[in-house]
Amino acid sequence: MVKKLYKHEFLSLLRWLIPVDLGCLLMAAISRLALFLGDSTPERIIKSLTGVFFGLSVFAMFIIGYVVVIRRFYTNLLKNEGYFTHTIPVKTSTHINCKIICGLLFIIVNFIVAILSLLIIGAGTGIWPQIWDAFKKAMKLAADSAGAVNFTVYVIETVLIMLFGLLLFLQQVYASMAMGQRMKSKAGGAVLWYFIFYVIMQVSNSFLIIGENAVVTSTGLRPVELTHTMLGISLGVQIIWNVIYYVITRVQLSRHLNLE
Amino acid sequence: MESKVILECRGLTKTYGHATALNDVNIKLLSGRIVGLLGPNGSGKTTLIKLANGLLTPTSGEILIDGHNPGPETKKVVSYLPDRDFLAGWMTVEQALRYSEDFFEDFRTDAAKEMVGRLGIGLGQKIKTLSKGNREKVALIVCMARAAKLYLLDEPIAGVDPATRDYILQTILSNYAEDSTVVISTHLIADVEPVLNDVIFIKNGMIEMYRSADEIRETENMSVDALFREVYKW
Repeated sequence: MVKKLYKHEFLSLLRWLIPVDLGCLLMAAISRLALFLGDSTPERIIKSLTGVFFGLSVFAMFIIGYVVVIRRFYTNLLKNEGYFTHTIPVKTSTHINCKIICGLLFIIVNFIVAILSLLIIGAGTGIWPQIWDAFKKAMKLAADSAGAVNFTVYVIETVLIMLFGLLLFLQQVYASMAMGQRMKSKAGGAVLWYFIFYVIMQVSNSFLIIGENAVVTSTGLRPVELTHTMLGISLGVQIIWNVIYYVITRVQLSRHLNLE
Repeated sequence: MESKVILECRGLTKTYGHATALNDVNIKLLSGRIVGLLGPNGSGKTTLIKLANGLLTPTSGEILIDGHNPGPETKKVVSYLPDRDFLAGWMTVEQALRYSEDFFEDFRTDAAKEMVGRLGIGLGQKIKTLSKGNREKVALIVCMARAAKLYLLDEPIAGVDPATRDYILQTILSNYAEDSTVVISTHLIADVEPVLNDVIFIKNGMIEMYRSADEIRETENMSVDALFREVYKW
């Protein structure tokens, strides 16, 4: 049953993922081919235009990706389709988990496609190996000079913060919709609750920054020497907010569902 | 065949702020009956049906389906037809049937395809391209193609032409199992009266009456429709 839920969720998102991501990769290929053109004015115009369209296709891919994932949650759980979805014999939490996992994977795939498209554009030019070597040297230099930053751990922490950050945005939107669905205007209510959550998070983050500065001052260490501590705290705070939003969404949809 | 209680409400109450949608409802529905849940708009019919489906939680009291509180286990045996479009417009008719087949073990795909075929609707047609009447028929087929223990149909004949109403009622009669219970919520009494075994009159969230349709006609010397007009007249 749960496998089928995920299957249908992926199929519904793939309808959008495939054409949008393929479009982005195609624009990358066209931009790469355009680089072979000469330096005459028309050829340079074509090169510029393909570059612009490639940039737009990447931008559109991300925007469409988020819109599709958020819209899927809204229409499948909170609008008329919800009359069928919520009568499927699984728990409400199973539905929420499915939406979160599939939505996050969808967005991660978009990031991978964006990276692939950049690799396509730079293919055969030798630019990407140079950029990667320069990046590694810079990171190693920073780590060696600090003496307290483990490069591998730093990369792992950064990736985790990015992943939980992506998840946090989705969860914040889902929680906003879960709260907003109890109001007369579901969409308006969702926007209102998004801003309320945003303000609360900003205020709590301000206190966190003040606290971190106080720790730096009191220990007398250089900020770079507290890199792992600070990243660990940031990651912990992100995880806490993710849990809070998940609980809000689950309670609202389990006990206060409003499909009207 | 011995009847058992398929749906039971014990002191069931549902409030929305200061408004009471259902007030201390106590009823037991037996298996193998076609029950009309009759009442005017706002009487609590849809609220009761949603509580039975687990789409709402009671403010107090409880509702039991086949002895269990609404949840994944009861959803396996309850087939629900809501009073609005619930099928995804982007799906084809076949995809909608497969969607239901994937989630409900009791879904009879062959029977569903046969019913769709008799209507002259192509399986490859997108739901959003169907007329309102045909969308409602496909939704009804998705509901009645299940071999459920309890069917909850919320206003299945509202807003459709008389021929479609006849089709809907015929489909209901020909597709439910003998030991299943069908609850039809409606305010169009005259159309459904011929198929009803029992009737529940609900008013302002309270059960006014729960009797057999035959008993009403014998003792009151009037049709259920006429009695409804008497009970609910202004």
